[in-house]
Amino acid sequence: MVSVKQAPRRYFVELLISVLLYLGSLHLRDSFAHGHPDPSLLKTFILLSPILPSALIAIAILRFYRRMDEMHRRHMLESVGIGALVCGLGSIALSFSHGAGLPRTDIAWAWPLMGMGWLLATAWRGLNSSIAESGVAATSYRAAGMAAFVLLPTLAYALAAPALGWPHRHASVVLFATLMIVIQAGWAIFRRDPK
Amino acid sequence: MKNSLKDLRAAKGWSQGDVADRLNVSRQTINALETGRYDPSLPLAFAIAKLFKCRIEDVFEP
Repeated sequence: MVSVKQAPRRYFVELLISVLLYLGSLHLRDSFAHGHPDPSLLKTFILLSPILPSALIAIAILRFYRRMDEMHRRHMLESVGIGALVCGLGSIALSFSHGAGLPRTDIAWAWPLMGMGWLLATAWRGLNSSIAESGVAATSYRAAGMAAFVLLPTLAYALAAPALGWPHRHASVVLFATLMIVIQAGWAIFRRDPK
Repeated sequence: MKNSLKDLRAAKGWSQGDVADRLNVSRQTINALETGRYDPSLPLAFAIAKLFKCRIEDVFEP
């Protein structure tokens, strides 16, 4: 049985592998669809292939949920509830915006919208817990350090990429910032005592 | 709900991490319990009382 202390490490590895598989399947889907315009069973299978790693992401989250202690389970459920609320409000807003003449929005935005609400609720709770435990000064210092770890290299990438001939579209800058967040989360999780 | 978890822990010379490991919860949960930011479930309250070899009402009071 995985202890509460070991759970974040397992979760990080399982989620990272699932997300990499998802990104790989998206890449495969896009590159295959361009080269094969005619319908076929293989094409249908490849076009649907991102569903499987999406399910793996959901399984990783569920496994982590089962390994959490009771306080974190409750906090996670509350955060997911807030995420669902944000998603519901966002879907209503998008529905009305379509009625007002704005372009129709893909339903695939529902999950990122919910994830964003979930993430913000988790961050807000984490901030409050940190202030209660360590005080405002220590929390501010830590938050500034975390922001600097992500923002400074991302800014350097955004400025240096055009000069060095690297991809510098908005998506690549967002991807770089995400990579920095993943590295930071991994560092925070793996430097802890594993026992 | 008030509790004497911090005093009991200090009497044993344990850190929050030590208690967390013994109860298989996170250190943050122990901190939240000690500072009154979280009330435990009945199973966790019993586990805490058992760990310190006392009755549940000796640890928690309304």
